[in-house]
Amino acid sequence: MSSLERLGEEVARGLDEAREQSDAVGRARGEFLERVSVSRSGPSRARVGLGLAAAAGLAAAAAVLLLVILPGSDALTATVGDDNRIVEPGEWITAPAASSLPVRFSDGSLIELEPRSGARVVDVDERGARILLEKGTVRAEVVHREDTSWTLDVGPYEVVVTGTRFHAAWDPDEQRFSLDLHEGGVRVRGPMVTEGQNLSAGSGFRAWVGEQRVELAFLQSDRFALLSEVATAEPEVAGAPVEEPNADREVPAAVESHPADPADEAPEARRADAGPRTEPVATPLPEPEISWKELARQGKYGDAIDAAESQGFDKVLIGATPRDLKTLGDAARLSHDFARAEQCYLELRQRYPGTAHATKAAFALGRMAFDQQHLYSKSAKWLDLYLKEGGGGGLTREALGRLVEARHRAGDSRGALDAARRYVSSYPDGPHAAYAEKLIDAAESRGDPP
Amino acid sequence: MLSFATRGSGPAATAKPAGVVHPLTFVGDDAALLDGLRSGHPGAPAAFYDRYADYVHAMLMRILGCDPEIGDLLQEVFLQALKSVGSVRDANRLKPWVGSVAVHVARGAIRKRSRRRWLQFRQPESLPVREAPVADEETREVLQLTFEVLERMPADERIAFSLRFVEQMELAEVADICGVSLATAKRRIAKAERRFVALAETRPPLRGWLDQSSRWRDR
Repeated sequence: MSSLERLGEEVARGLDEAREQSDAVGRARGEFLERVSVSRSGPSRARVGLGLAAAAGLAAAAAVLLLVILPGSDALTATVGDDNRIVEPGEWITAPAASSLPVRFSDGSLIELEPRSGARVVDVDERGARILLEKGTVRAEVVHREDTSWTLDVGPYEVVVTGTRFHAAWDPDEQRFSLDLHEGGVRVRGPMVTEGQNLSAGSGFRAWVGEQRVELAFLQSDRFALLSEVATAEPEVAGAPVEEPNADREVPAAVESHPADPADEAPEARRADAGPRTEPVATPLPEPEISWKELARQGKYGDAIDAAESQGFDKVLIGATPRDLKTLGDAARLSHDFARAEQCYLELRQRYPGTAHATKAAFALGRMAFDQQHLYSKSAKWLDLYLKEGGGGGLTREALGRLVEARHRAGDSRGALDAARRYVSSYPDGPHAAYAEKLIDAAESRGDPP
Repeated sequence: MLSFATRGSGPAATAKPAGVVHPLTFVGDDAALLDGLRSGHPGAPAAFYDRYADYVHAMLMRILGCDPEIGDLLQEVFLQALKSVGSVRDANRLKPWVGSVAVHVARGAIRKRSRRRWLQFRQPESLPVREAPVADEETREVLQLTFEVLERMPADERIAFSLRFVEQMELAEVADICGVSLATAKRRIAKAERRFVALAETRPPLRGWLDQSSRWRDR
């Protein structure tokens, strides 16, 4: 090895150490997926999203044509508030903090913005309107006619409406969309449902755009649970009704399996009628005050595992990124919870086969079996697999050295000798070189075949 | 009663009991992933990222060091890759192809900074290299000095040097990932070696590393 290669190896080792501490991959993931979602959400929404001012201007001009210059047009008219002020297309409409704001259309349709919600009536014609919900929740009651054409743009999603009654919510900060359909039918199109998803009465749709996750909910009784009330997550608005959680509520299957998790109480505990709501609703998988990730980062591995257990370990796994799975597995391993560690690593390998994450998990399993469990055959199996999968991450030398030792300790003399020869050939100055040479010398003195 | 179902792809999506929400995972090898990316499978970009983000991150760090913009560049690599993934014909080439996109993005970042420095009349060494969060002081110093030297090298030479000596790629791999002929890669690496050694002469700790071999003194 040349001096430059030795220097390069040292630099690579330092960079690998720095990379292990970096959270760039995790941070960039969400932003990347968000940008993908936005770019895939189609030109109409991109146009609305990127050029709202221009859209508003154009829409306003169109409105002048439709509503003023061509008074004979059959275009619907929209009015807002109790004083029925006419809405200019493109106009920004926002509901106050303490009450909802109705937008009424001349065909009898109603779009009600719940407190703190904001929307624009982008366009209106004789068959319906295009409305952009920029944040918060709307309650819609669209009158059905044969040629009805209503569209609601919610974040990156497009909801095509015929005649229906529904709640829709969008939280731009969390990139979370929800739609609860009380009557009629709609078609939702956007990230993860690029071909469109038809929803019928009594069903709900939730999407976490950044996490690339979609959930469908089916209502099987005459009661309906609001799934998201981002805009109304303000405590105690004067005069607004606040319901108590229903004691005899029916429980979704997901909740039944984790009754101790307060997060699970949110969907069914917040029953709603069609009217506006005011109490906050928890997000689906909120983390405790100090998350297991933070505890793991602080080196409090046992506490991190306890936090994950209290959150519902299996649920944490379900929502975990590859890096989360590795971190959680490492925390379990370092706190000697080998069953949980193995669960995390195996989940990582099963969910992301053929990836660098899966390969690293093989090394972690091999190291755990060696260092903590002293199961040398098992360790050798995982280390061998790690090397066969290409190694990487600066751990190849370490893995091969441990493989020599694991096979030797497991009584696999032949396998240990093979690994020792490979090691000495690749890393003559490596930390396991002396150990490997000793095995080779012993084999040669016994006259074992090369 | 509400029951929940989650849309996903692959066996993982259907194996879970109703009521469990889980990420939209894309299950499949690189050929399936390539098909998924081309056909707009909703889970494919996430799977693509999860499969190669560590590799790309490592590649960018090998070339750029502990760069504060590494997260943005990481995104940029995947966005550019998504735009041109249609040009990949062989799924077995997906990984090196992603690597070549990373090299392209890194080259762009180096050149952009060079232009910025030129416009500001600043010397490369006037910009501090970000200290790496590495426990060992000696390693930290080696990293610091190495990237100070690399900052002063032309982009193509810097990349060739990093891939050959830090990433420890074979010559053919360097040529492949840089999109040049083997002969060009050899020439580029040879020039990069000479330039690096000459610049390292003014930095005693680096010179110490190089003094371990007489190869450079004899040239």
